[in-house]
Amino acid sequence: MKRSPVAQRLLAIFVAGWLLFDHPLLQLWLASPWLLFLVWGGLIALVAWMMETGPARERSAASRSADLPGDPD
Amino acid sequence: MAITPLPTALVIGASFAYLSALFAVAAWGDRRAAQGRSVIGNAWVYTLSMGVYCTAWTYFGSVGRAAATGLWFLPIYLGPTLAMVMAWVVLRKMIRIARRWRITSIADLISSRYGKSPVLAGLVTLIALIGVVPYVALQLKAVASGYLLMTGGASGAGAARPWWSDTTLYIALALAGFIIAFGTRHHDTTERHEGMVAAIAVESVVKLVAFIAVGVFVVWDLFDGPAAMLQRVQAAPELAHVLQGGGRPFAYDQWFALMLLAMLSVILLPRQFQVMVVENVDEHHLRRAAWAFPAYLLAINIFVLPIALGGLLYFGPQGQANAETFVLSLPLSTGAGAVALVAFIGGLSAATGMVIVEAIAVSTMVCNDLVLPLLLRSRWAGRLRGPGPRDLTGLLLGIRRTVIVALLLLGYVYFRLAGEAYALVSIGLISFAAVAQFAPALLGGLFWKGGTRNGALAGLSAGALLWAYTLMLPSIARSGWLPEGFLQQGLFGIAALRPESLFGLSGMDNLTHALFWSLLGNAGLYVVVSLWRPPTARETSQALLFVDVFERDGSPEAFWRGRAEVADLLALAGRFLGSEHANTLFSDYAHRQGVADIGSLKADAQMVQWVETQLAGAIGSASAHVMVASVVEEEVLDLDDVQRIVEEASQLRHVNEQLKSLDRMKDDFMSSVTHELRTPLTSIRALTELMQDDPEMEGAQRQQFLGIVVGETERLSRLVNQVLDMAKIESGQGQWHNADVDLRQLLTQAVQTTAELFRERGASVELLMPEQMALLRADPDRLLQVVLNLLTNAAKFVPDPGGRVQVRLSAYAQGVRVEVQDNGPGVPRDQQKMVFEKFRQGEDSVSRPHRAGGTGLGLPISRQIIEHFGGRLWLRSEPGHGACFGFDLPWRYDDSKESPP
Repeated sequence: MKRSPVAQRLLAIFVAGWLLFDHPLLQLWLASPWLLFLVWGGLIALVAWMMETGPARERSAASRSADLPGDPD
Repeated sequence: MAITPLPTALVIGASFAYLSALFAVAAWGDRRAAQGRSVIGNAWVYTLSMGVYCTAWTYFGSVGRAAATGLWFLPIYLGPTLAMVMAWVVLRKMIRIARRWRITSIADLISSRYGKSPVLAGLVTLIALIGVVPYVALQLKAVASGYLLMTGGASGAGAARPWWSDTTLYIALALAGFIIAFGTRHHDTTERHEGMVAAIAVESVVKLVAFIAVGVFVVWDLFDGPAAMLQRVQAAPELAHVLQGGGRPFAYDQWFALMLLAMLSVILLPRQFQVMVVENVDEHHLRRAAWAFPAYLLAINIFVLPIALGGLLYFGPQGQANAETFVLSLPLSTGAGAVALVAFIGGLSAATGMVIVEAIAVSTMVCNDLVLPLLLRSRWAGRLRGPGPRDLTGLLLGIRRTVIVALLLLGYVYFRLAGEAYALVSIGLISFAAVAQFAPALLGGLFWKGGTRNGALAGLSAGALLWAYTLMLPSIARSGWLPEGFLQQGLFGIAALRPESLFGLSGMDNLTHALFWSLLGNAGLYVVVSLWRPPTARETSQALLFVDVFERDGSPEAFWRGRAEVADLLALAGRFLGSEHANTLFSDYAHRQGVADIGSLKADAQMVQWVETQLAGAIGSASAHVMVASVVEEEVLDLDDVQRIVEEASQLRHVNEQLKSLDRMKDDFMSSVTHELRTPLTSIRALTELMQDDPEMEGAQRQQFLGIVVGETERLSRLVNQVLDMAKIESGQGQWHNADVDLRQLLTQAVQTTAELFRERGASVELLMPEQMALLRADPDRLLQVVLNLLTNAAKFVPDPGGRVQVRLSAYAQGVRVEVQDNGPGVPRDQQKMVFEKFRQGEDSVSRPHRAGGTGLGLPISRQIIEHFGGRLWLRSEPGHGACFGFDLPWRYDDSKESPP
């Protein structure tokens, strides 16, 4: 199956999320509830950074090439 | 610590004022949409509308759960966070499919994927309906108990009173009226509800702000800030369990199950599907929602734990107050009536938002996938299908409105029967587990082409039965409506059939247990039955369209064959979409197809598919398929036909791409030619103007200018000749004068001709040839043209001074090889193909110090000539080791194709 780099990165974050929010790493955050919120916020920030910067460049590139088919200038 | 109630009139008045404001927002949103100035075309509004996930369950139930078990309210929000990470991959695909095929509900999506099966659509709808009734009951329960608390009524009074004096019933009916006014006002049955989305976004803001207001009130007003509060919590040993995950050994399996459940539900709940997929206007909004929606969930959960701890501290751990209403009881009992009212409005907002969207989504599903198929089979069918311009849009709206009222009443009945026995959270989880059953068929169908209708049916049925047996029935039994005996002894006294430890599996809580068995049975049967028999033609075609939706977007295939009449299709569309709307749609379609009016349209496969898609938006794809099939003569396709259509479409796509690329090449060629013509023309013009303006110009200067003009004119005519030459060769009109060629003589002549050029550049030329060589059949002038071109190219690239060029001729059994090797900079690997393209001289200025003089057509023409004689022109070059251009020619070539001179 063809997968773009964005999809692969998202999949990696998804897997990391399951690892962070489940046994056994969860034990570390449960010691203090605020820690869990902190990890949660960190994950959200990572997704935000990925979706709003990286792929945005791809998107504008994609729309440019869609507007001007085949014209490299 | 007594609770000070607020006046009933104030609470009711504020509630109605709030709902009216909401209604105004919806009406404004619809008006803007009608004017073409959509308010929901915004990623923030889209994100906020997803906040409908947070219902009264979040608003009241989370605090209750936190008070009892600490952080256990969180998996319900961590799951969606993880789901949204994959939104760009999974949700975007669903959105694209839904847009392309006008899919309006999750039942529609699943049935459409498996060959538009009405049975499957009905089953999904039934599961969704049974699954969401408890959830609606939960909202009613929350609003009712909140209302009682606010106005000082006795708690639990709802179920104890006779039904006609129960406020909950009137709340349910008022909500039903509100939803009807909200979502089914229009006589047009398109899938989008812009006003509703705008109102839901506002509701999301209201509930968030209200909840945070209560949190701020509790932490700062009641307990003098977080530090002071934490001190008091630490001083109360009975609260330690709240901070440490419930005190028991941590049930990781349950935590995992809850996260998985929430992750699936956030996509599969009918209301989530409605706002995320159906109401989406731009799939790029997902980029924002992927992080902003989880951020919303985080924000609304920040104060859950503080409010729970505050309540426990204030009322005492075994306090009189129900922890699920701390949000209201804390401000009420401290005399902060205004905060309590804000909190109540927030809770009302959370509950109504959920009920509105859920009811609209479920009413669409029930109407399209349960009621309509039954009507079409009943004795009404004749009237629905029969001829005549009967407009059925009113009937559709009527069905939807009835379903909305029925859903709210069902919710009320469930609340009366079972609501009092269960906490909000447990009710919500029963619903989550029901819709989680859609996951294998839906997600499998999006990414696996092998899934079949029977697989999906088997999986869904098994999952739903196991869900009902292991989760729903026990909950009803616990409420006292079924004998509890079968819980302990198992069905018919068989211990292995005990619902909460099926086949003896124990050690899990009942939710994890139910989820494990139902998803195992569901996914297992889906895969096994799907693999049992190959998919049918219809399943295969739908699988291709769904799984490869991104690759096939805009592709022309239509999996249909048969005979149809435009008039029949128009009449059919008119019945379900309204005849005026249908006429406009058909005219637009005719316009797009490039014909004058509807009468000139041809009812081909594409058009039939288009009509079916338009109808699907109003009545669901399964019913649309049945209705279209009733007015056309369809031939049944088999797998080979599907395969053939796919191949034809992909060939067509390929040819289209080739045409586009040829078109582009032609444009490039034209612009290059113009550019090459302009350069010499500009200098000719400039020099002649200089001479015209200055009649006194010195003779020597004039001579120099004239020399340049003559040179440029020569270059121009060379270019024009070459372009004509090229065009002739390419179109097969070239003139060829074939003779027996002595290559030794030809190469010697070429080297002599260019000797002066090499001498000027201080370069030496070496000619290596065998003593004897047989004659070759070809056009000597053309071959000389090629060799001269290679030599002049070499002359341009050799270093000055110290250039060395070697011309080699060698003979083989099949033919001859001519090579021209220079010691210039060579051609970079990435440009080696390009140099044979028209006007594409090597772009690198370092490797091309003497660009002037070339037309960029020499090598392409040479290649054409060599290929004409059945040979091959090639380039071998290692950067830094010079370039070696050469060609191979066969002794004889087949010249029978040539046009006579």
